[in-house]
Order: sequence, then C-alpha cells, then structure tokens
Amino acid sequence: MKLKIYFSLLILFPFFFISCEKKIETQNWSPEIITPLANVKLTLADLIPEEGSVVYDEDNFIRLAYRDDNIFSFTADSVINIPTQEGFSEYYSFQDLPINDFNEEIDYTLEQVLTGDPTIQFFAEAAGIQIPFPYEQQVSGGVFNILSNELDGLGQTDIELNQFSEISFITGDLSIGIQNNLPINIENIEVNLSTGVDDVGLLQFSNLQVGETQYLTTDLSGLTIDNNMLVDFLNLTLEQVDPMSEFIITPNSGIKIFFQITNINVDSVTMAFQNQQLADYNTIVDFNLENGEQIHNLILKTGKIICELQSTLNTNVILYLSIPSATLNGQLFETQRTIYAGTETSFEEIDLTGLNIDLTTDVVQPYNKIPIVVSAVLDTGDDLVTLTNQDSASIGLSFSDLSIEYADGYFGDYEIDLGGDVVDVDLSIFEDFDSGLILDDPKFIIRVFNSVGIGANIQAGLNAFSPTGQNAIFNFNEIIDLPAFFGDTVEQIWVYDKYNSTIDDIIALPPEQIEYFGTAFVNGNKDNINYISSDTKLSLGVEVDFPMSLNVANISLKDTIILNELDVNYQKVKNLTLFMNIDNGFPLDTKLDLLLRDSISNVIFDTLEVANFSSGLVNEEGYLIESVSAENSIHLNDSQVENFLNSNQIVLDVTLNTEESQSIRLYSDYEFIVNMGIQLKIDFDE
Amino acid sequence: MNKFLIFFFFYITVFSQVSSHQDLENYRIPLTYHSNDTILGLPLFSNNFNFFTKHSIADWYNLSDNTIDFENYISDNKSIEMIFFLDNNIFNFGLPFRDSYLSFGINHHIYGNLNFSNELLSLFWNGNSQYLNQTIDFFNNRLSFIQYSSIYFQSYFQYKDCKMGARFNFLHGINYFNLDRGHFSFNSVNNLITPFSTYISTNIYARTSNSNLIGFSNPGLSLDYAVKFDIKDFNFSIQLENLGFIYWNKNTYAHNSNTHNYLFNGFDYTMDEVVSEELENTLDTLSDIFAISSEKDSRFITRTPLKFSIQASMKTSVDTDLFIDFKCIEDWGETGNRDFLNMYFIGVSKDVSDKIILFSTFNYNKFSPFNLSLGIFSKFDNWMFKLNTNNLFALFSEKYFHINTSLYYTF
Repeated sequence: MKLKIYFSLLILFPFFFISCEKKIETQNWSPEIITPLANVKLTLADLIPEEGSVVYDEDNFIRLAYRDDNIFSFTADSVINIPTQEGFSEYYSFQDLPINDFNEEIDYTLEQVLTGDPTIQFFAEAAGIQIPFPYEQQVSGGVFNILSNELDGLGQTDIELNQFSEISFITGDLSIGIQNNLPINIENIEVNLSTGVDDVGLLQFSNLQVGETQYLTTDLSGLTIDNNMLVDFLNLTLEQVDPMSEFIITPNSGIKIFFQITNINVDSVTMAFQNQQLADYNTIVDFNLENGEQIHNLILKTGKIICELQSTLNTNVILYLSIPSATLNGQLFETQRTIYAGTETSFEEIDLTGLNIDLTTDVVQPYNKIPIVVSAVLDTGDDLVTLTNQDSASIGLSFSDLSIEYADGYFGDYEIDLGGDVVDVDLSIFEDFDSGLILDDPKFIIRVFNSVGIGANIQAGLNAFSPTGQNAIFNFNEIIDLPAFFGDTVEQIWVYDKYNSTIDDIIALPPEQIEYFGTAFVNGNKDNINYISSDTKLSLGVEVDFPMSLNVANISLKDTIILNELDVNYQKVKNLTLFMNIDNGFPLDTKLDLLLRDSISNVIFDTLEVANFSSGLVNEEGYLIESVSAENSIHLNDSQVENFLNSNQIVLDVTLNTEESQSIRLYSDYEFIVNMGIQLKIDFDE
Repeated sequence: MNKFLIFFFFYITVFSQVSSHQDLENYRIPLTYHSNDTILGLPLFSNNFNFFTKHSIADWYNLSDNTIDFENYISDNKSIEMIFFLDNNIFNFGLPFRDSYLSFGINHHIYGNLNFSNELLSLFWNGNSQYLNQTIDFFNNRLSFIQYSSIYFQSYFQYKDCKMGARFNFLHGINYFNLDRGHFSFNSVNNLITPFSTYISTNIYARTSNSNLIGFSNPGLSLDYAVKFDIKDFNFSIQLENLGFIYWNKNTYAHNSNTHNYLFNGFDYTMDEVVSEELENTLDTLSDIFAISSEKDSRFITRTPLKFSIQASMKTSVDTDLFIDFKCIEDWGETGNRDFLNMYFIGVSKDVSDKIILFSTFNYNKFSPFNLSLGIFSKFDNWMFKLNTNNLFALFSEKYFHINTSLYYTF
C-alpha cells in the first residue's frame, strides 16, 4: 500500500513542478547603453530646395529667378482690328428691264415658193424650170412674167423666234427687212405678220430692186406676241420683163427676210436669257476703323466676301465681282459665282485669303477705300424663264473675318489695354523669412521685343501683396521704339534695382500675390510708315533676379523627418541623453530646435531646444571659409522621452541670423552636420 | 520550479544485486552484470542527471520569488560555467544466455556545457556605458550541446577470475551544437565625429547538426567496456564508456561571423531620405556585424564524451563495504581544448537489511569540493527501487546537483 502511494507521488511529482511554473522576473536589471545614433547632414539645398523660383548657379549659389518674356504682348489684331464691313446692298426691281434686241434672218427661196404649191410647181416645171433647182439654170423673162401673174403671193412661212417664248411689250420696234435676191425687181410685196397671240399687221414693200434690202418698222407697243410668227406674203408683183430675156436663177434665188425687234421694254417676257444683265454696280468700300487708322496697303491673312442674293426669279444668277485695286497671286482679283436667286436668301462666300489690296486709289481719300465692281447677269441657257415687271432681286455684299497678314499706313494714336492678372508668387522661400529680408542686389528686368512698325508708350505696374495684406507698388513707364524697317526687331531692356525703383519695398513685404496691369499708348507717327504683319509682335517680358546675397534676421526654415512610431514601452526608459557633435557650415548663426510632432492629431508634443551655434567664418565677400564645431548634449526627462517616443515626426526648426550689417551669400552646398549619440538607461524590472 | 527538473526522468534499472557504488550510478544494466533473471526495463524510467555550476545558481536566481538578479554576481567578478549530463534508459532487456548475460536496449543522452564570462554578463546586465573608451574583449564564452540516442547490445563474459562486459552502441545523433569560437570585442569612444562610435570585432564560429528524434541519420558507434576483478580482499572495477564517434551528416551547418572589424557610428541621414529606411538599413548592417552566416557545411565527425571510472572496494564486515571511486567525464567543448571533469568518492555501503542497502560517500569535484551522497537500494517482492544523490544538500543552494532513481520489475 505504501509503495503504491510512493509510486503515485513519484509520478505526480514532475506534474506538480510543471503546473507550478510562473513567469521569471528580474531585479536590478537597468543596463545603461551608449550607442552612436545618427549623422544628420542638413544642407541649404534641403532648406531652400531648387524648385519654383529658386535656382542654383553652376557654383551652387542660390538665387530667386523668374522670367517670362511675354507678360504683355500685342499683335496685328491688337493694333488694327477690321470689323465686318458692309460693301453694299442693292435692291432691283425689273420694272424697266431692258431686253436685248432680237434678230432673225430667214431665207425664203424661189424654190420654196414654187414647191410650196403643187399647181405652181407643175406650172413652173412646165415652164422649163428645173425643180429642184440646179446650181444654175436659165429662166426666161416670160416665166417670171407668168409667175408674177400667177403667184398670189409668195405663200406663208414661219419665223421661229427662239430667244423668247412670249413677250408683252411696253415698247418695241419691229423691223422687217426684205432683201431681193431674185434676178428681177420686185415691184410690190405685201407681208402680213401674225403670231399666236396678237397680229403685228401688214407691211408693204415696193420697188425692191435686185439685191436691195428695204426695211419697214412697226410699233409693237401694247402687243403680246409669241415666238411663232407667221409671215404671209400676200401679194407679190414682179417687174414685167422681156419674155425673151434670160435670167439665171440659183437655189439661193428668192428673198431674204430680216426680222428685228429693238427698243424692247416689256411687261413680262418668257424667254431664255443669255447674259441678260440684271445689275451692274461700281462702289467703293470704306473701312470703318475704330481708332482712325489709315491703311494704305493691306494683305489679308483671312477674309471673305459674303454675297447675299434673294430674288423672285427662282433661277441662277451669275455674279461677277472684281476688286480693281486688289491682286491675288499677282493676278487682278476677279471672280464669278453662280448663285441661285430664289425667295430664300442665298449666301455665297468668296475667300479673300492672301488678297493684296491697295486702299489708296481714291483721290479724295487715299486710304481705307476699296473699289468694288459687281454685276449680276441672268443666263438661263436654253431654259425659259418668265420675267415680269413685278419681279425683284436684292443683292448684298459684306466683308467679314478680316485679319491682317500685312498692313501699312498710319495707325494713329490710341490706347490699348494690355490687360493684367493676379498671380500667386511661387517664392515660397519668402514665407520662411519672418522679417528683415534685405537682399544686396535684387534686380527686376523688363525686356521689350518690338517687331511691329509702330512705337508705343507702355505704362505698366506691379502691385504686390503680402500674406498680411500689406502692399507695395512698382510702376513702369517707358517709350518703346519702333523698328527701322520691316523685318527688324528692336530689343530694349530696363533694369530696376533698389536704387532706381521700389523693388526692395516689394521684397521686404514679402509678396504672396502680384497683380500686374498695363496700358500701351500706340504712337502712329506720321513721319514714318507704320506697319504690322501677322509675324510681328510687341512683347514685354519681365525677369526677376534676386541673388541670395543678403542680410537677414530670423529666417525660420523647417524640415520634417518622418519617423515610424516606435513601439517602445517608454516607461522602461529611465533617462535618455542625446550627445551631439555639431559642425556649423552655415554662414549664419543657427538656432536648432526639434519639434516633436504627431502628424495625425497635428499636435506638437514638445520642443527640444538643441542649441544655438555661431555661424561659420565668413570672409568679406560673404563666403563661408570655415565651419565652426561645437559639442552639446540634451538630457530628456521622463515627459520628453514619452513625447519623443510618441512622435511620428521630428520637425527641425532652424532659425538663421546674420550678424548685424554682415552680408552673406547663400550656396546650396553649405552643410550643417549633427552627429548624435545616445546614452540610454533602461529599466527592465517589472 | 527550475526547468532543469522538467527533464527529470525516472528510470528503472533492474539489478538482482547492486554490487557497487559504480553500479549504483549506472542507469542501465551494468556491463559486468550476471544473473539468472530475465530483466525488462520499463520505458521512460531512467535517469542519471549531473549538473555542475561553478557558482551557485542561487547567487543570481531566487527560487522563492522567482527573480533573477545578476547585480552582485557580476560585481563579485563571477562568470557562469555550467556542465550537465543526462542519460536516460528508454528501454532495456536482459536475459541469461549460457554462461553469459546478454542485454540490449535504447538509451538517450544529453551532454552540454556553457561558459559566459563575467564581462559578457556585465555587458548584458549593466550595459556598455561602463566600457566607454575601453576595449573590451569577450573570450572564453562557450556553448556546447550534444544529444544522441543509442541502441546497444552488451554481453557479459568471464575470463578466469575477471568479470568483463562489453557493449556496442549504435548511435544516432539528434542535435549537435558547438561554439568553436565565440570571441568578439568592441570599443565605444567619444573622441570621434559621432559620439560613442564603436569599433566592433567579431570572431565567431559554430557548427550544428540536427535530425529527428528517431531515425538512423548522423550515425555513430561507441564501445563500452568494464572489468571487475579481485585482488586479495580488494575488489576492483574499471569501466570505460563512450569510446566512439558520431558522423554528423544531416543538416550540418557552419555558422560564421561575417564581419571581422567594423566601425559602427550610427546611420547617416540626409533630408531626402526616409528615417525609418535608413534606420532599418543601419540595423541590418549592425545585425550583419553579429550576424552569423550559415552555410551548409561538410560532414564532420565528433567523438562522444569519454567516461572513465575506477573503483576499489573492501569488505570490512559482512554487511559493510568501504570503497573509493574515481570518475572522470570528458569536458567536451572547445575544439582542441579538452578537459576532464573528475569526481572522487570515498564512502561506505551497508546492508541495512536483506532488502535495503545504503550507500554514503564523501565526494569531491572541482565545482563542489564537499559533497555528501546518499543512496538507497531496496528490493521488495518483484520490485526494486533505487534512489541516489551525490550531493544530499544540493537543491540549488550548492554547485553540484545529482540524482538518479530507478524502479524496475523482474520476472
């Protein structure tokens, strides 16, 4: 029994010890550890980085530089702006529309007469006349005597007047001419003219000698005729001749009828118009320029003539346009367009790009004037169009989208607002200068490039505003010369420094925003031809050059070191001391504070005042010749240790000062070195 | 409870008779054992555990409140030197065979030692601030560990009046670690550009190998031999164990310090860098200094820690024996620098009854010069019980702890 108990205890013994295990603690375990920590190099490039307006020279000298060569500019459009010009606008009524004369010739041969009536033909053949007529044949006089007795006339023939379909005449003279191509005289011939509408009447011709042409005229006023005119030769009496005489007749023997209508003025006409002039207009366009500019010669970069045509004709109208004083590619400018003239206004654009215009052709006003010749012609081809005296048309021409490729003349005196803007100044470095920034040699440079053939007076200015609302003004008033000849460029530079301007007032603000504004007073000097082209330009640029040679008080520069939050139980840290070996390679007295910051809550837990260090040795030119070394230590108490370990950022707050009246030069490679070691006592005891 | 005792194993060795103090300390069937009994050793009941420390653990560890305090320990210029041996008999079986006695079984062994210099302890406990502007060298730091199992076959035989036994052990290496060189030095100074810049020099070399607890990799062989003989009234017993080697061929690595000399002066930082990245880079560099590059090593052979003991005893009465005993165990550690841990015993054994034998000795070793041991061997029915400690008054107040127990069953 006892053995069993002992055995059981023996088995349970190790389990007892295992179950009794508890955590081992330490006592008096507080090691003190020293270790190098970090070697921090801070350069002026870190504090004043090369960005925005900050630039570094080749030797790393820091300067603030800004340049914009085109703050203000004006081009051809700014100098001369040619608004849309109305050329002319005319209204035409066709009430007194002159119609072209009609002419017609008809041959009515003897052969046609003889073959027109079978009886007569029989008789003629019986009389020995060969039908059809040979080249020549002789016919005796007796045959003619018989024909004269037998022919009642010469029969009828139609005259088709193709020029029109129907005309109602207000005025019109119809001339009928008969040419005797028979070998014998015609003693008498009566001609009756009739149409499908009105008849013209009877005309009598007498004693028509061989080869003679006689004309008779009749008035058509008030008549309406169509184009199918029937000519009825009612009576023909030939000269009685010796029956034994022989006469030669040919196929051309007969009479020729000349049909002519002149002095036509109609109420309406239905006809095919060919080159029927509707309007013919010569006019002069006078450019209206706002500022009294006098343009002598003009080459258009862009431009067009817009024709507006509206009519009751409802047919195509040919528009002829020419500008006698203009050439295009060396050729006189003229153009022809076919425009539909309907009740809906038609528009036609005529491109004037590249047009070279002489605006000095007017004797009275040898500038700004462009002669224009416009004519509108109706040409319907074979199509018949009815034209009445109720019809009308309106034609208008205007110049638009005119821009200048080249112009010369006298541009007058007037004012151009150059505009302006408010810009935020990217001189962020100025934010770090709390006060008293005195630059040794700041420069504000204005450059003008002028290739425009005109002089001007530029009055411009800068109005600078500080973050606190203070402002300072800089004004600029200079005369800009014009180039000597076309193609030349004048460059002018004005340099403003603190001795001849208020530039140092602006720097001292320091500026956060700058408002710039300007006006140009164009001086169109009549002693010189003014010119401008699309390539010419007057531009004004500014350049800021602020070398960092300065005397400062309290430059506060900051940079942030990002830390990961240290997952350390700070209560274990009994004390902590930072040891620092510092080498001040800045030519400025440097005060270094460490701000322990939490970026999430944006709270600064603590400020550790590291030290105040004298500047490195600076020579007379303000250049650092030797850095200054020092040793320092900071002991952190419990609260500061806690804040340090709770921070996720350390802000290096560097305050720089120059000695009074000491001017120094800033180079980006100046270094401020802090070598840190840490002495740390940790208490591991629970 | 001290974790050393977690590895407290009970073993059973079954003896028909515990004939000597030497046998008392055996954790398996003695080499010269001979009887007619068939013995079955119960598994996981075997232990012979020795633990030596140059200075008492109680000097820095307070058991009652479970606290560690090295303050006085270090100021007394003490270092840590510890040696431990653990042998377990997992299983054994023995049976008589003709005139001989055969047995086989499975054992488990751990040998280890560690040395931490006072300087190292001081560095760890007090920090390095005390060494400003001084070059501190850290030598004599050592850590060695070997663990292996063995399958053994042993035989007893007698030649004339000599009882002899031989045991062949087939070894399987489980873990090996030896810090061949554990030297480093540093010097923190405050006269360089960076305060507390530190020169660091390292010269660390170690080898390791490991395999599964059970297997046949890392093979080895060792031979144990014992002989007993009598001369007049004296009985002599000589025993030699662990004459052998292990061929480490699995997961063998050589661990070398990367950097020999380095000046550490913190991390360099400029404003266009990220602090955390630079700090990480510097910590990486710093860890590289002490980092050990581990490279696959070629296979190597180590000897097993040699054990030797010799005992002379004399029967002074029927139930009383006087004996002296000498043991030495090879202090296995730094390459080329072998040492032996010697233990000297002088004592008496007395048969208190037919069931109980008591042993008591006065024993000496370099760590603990004055030790009193007490052992008891008892047999009841088919059960046999043994409990022995070489330092009765140990239990962490002294520098030497030893215990072995056994419980066995015969049939």
